[in-house]
Formats: sequence, C-alpha cells, structure tokens
Amino acid sequence: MREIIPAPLPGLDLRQHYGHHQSPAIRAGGLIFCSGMLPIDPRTGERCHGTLTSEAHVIFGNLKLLLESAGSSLDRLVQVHALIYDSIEYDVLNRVYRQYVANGPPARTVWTAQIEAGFKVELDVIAAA
Amino acid sequence: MAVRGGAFIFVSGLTAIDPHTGERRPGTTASETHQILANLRQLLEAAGSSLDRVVKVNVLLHSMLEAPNMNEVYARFFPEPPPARTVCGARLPDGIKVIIECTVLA
Amino acid sequence: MTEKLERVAITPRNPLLNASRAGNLPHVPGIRVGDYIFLSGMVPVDPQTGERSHGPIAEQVRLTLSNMAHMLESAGSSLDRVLRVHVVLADISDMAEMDRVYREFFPVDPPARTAWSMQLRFGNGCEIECVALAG
Repeated sequence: MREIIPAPLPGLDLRQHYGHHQSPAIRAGGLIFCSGMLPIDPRTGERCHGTLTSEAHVIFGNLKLLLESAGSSLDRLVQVHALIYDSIEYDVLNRVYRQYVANGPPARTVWTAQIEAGFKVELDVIAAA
Repeated sequence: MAVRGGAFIFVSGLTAIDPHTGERRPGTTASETHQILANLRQLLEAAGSSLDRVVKVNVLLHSMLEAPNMNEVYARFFPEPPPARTVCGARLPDGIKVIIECTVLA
Repeated sequence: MTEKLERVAITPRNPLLNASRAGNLPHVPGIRVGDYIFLSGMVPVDPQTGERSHGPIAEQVRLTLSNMAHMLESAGSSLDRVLRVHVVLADISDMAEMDRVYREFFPVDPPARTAWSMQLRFGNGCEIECVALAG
C-alpha cells in the first residue's frame, strides 16, 4: 500500500506555500520516497538562500524532521541524488554532507542541475522505512 | 518502457510521443507534459496499475523557468494525494522540453 | 507492525572500482535493502589500473557498464536483474553512441532508462547509476 507522509511542520508543505503538486514523502514497499528537499524554513516555508553549505544544513535538518516523523532517520538513507548548481562546489557539498551520514552513508549520485528558485543544492532521497 | 521488480514498476523517462506510432510530438512544455502523462496513464492501466499508485516522479525540464507550466498540467493528472516528486533543469536531447519518469506500486 | 528492512553496504570485489573508499567519499558503492540494490553513480574507470578513461564515449560507456556488471555480481546480482538505469552524459550529442553500446549490455528486455546531459566532473563523458533486484 502507498502511505502519504504529511509535512511534519507546516513550512514543509510545498503545496500550500508554492503550489507544488507533490506530497512530502510516500511510504511503500518498506521504503520512503521523499520529494526533493529544498532549503526552506520548516516552520514558515520561507526560502533560505545562502551558501551551498548553509542551504545543505537546512535541507538535512528538514530531512531529519521528515524522516523521523515517519519512523525512519538519516541513518536509514538508501540512495541520494545530490543536486548541486555547479560541480565546482563538489568538495563543499562533501564537507557538509559527511557530517550527516557518518553512520554508514547511503549510495549517492551527484547531479549538476538547474535547481528551482536558484537554490544551490537540493537532496532527492530514498530511505528505508 | 516499464519494468516490474519486487513491489514496484519502474517506468522509463517518457517524452512526448504519439502512443500508437511512436512519433515525436514536440510542442510547449505544457503540451508535452500533457502528452506524456496521458501516455503514462494508458501505460499504467494496461499494466494493471494506475496514476494513484505512483509513489515517486522525477521531472527533467529543459529550463526551470517552465516549472509552473509543467506543474499546472501535472496537477490535473495526479489525483489526491499526489506522489513525491523532484523537478530539475538539465540538458535534454533533441529539443525535448520535458522528460518524466516514475516509480509505481505494482 | 511491519519489520524494518535492513540496509547493507555493498562493495566491489575489485577494490580499484571502489571510488567511495579511494576518494574517502561520504557514500558507498551501493546499498542492498529488501529486494533491491541501489548503486551510486559509476564513471569510466579502467578496472586494471583504477585510472579514469579518456577515450571516446563508446569506450567510456562500455567500461562503465562492465564495471557496473562487476559491482552487481559482487553483490550477488547481475545486469539482467537491473530495473532502472540513469545515464548522464556530459555531451548530449553522445546519446546515439551511448545507446549503441548500451544495447550490447541490455540486448533483451532492457530495464527502464532515463538519459540526459549534465555537467560532469573530472572530464567524465558519462555517469551511470542503477537500481537492481537483489540476487
């Protein structure tokens, strides 16, 4: 069965704030598929533009909230697509990223992509439920 | 196009084509999104599934400026509550404006 | 309550293909969870030397997919159990050549695939990831 994981805090409801037709995450088949997580304030939904580092911290904080609300955690990440706006920031991404996945990191592919709203980073993740 | 494995059906990145002839149907981002999702709906129904069993969608756009145009059409296809989704801009082949792939509960 | 699935990191038998370890990077070559194996993106690396391949795209794709086969086999799976592939090319005009070689590896009942172009690091011509059924 497909179970919707609602936004644990109102700011993470991107439908309400930005009209994005998506649920924050879906649990199915023992996995949790998350919508691409952005650097937005989880309480207010406001955009938190900054450096790649500061944006990544906000994103990981949001993912932690979302996954824990669903009974999972950052330690149960399985696969990550790390979207960055320019591959020149690869080392910067790694420096902040490794702080959050120390306990057995997941598989990862880094995508250099055009990210919405001019954000520098976005994380698209799958976790074990 | 679509491969079943375990609990899920994995659908390839779809582009705007005529579902019968396979010919490309280039257009606006909105029209291509419409064609893709109409094709997806048919494909899933033929596989015994449906749009309301989609768990995750990845949308690739030739430009993120077109995200609202894609989203407006997209919102009409996926019933409540919608699947998880990630949208990003990338270089797409052959002037294609949008590619949509998804993972579906079988 | 459903039992929680366990995550297990997978590593290639050939250590030269373990880019995660070689680069001391915060990822693993792949994760097995439940019925599935999720691989990290793989790039064209010579399995005998560990050196990056600078050759034409056909050679790069061939190398990458051979390495992917090795990675899956190291984890008890195989190319014919692959369900989904993401192919990222540095140059979108390499699509046809990529496809030609790709078909050699997935000649029958190919997996789902999405292919597109993005900026890739280190001059790599391609980066390929996949999801496969565990063995």
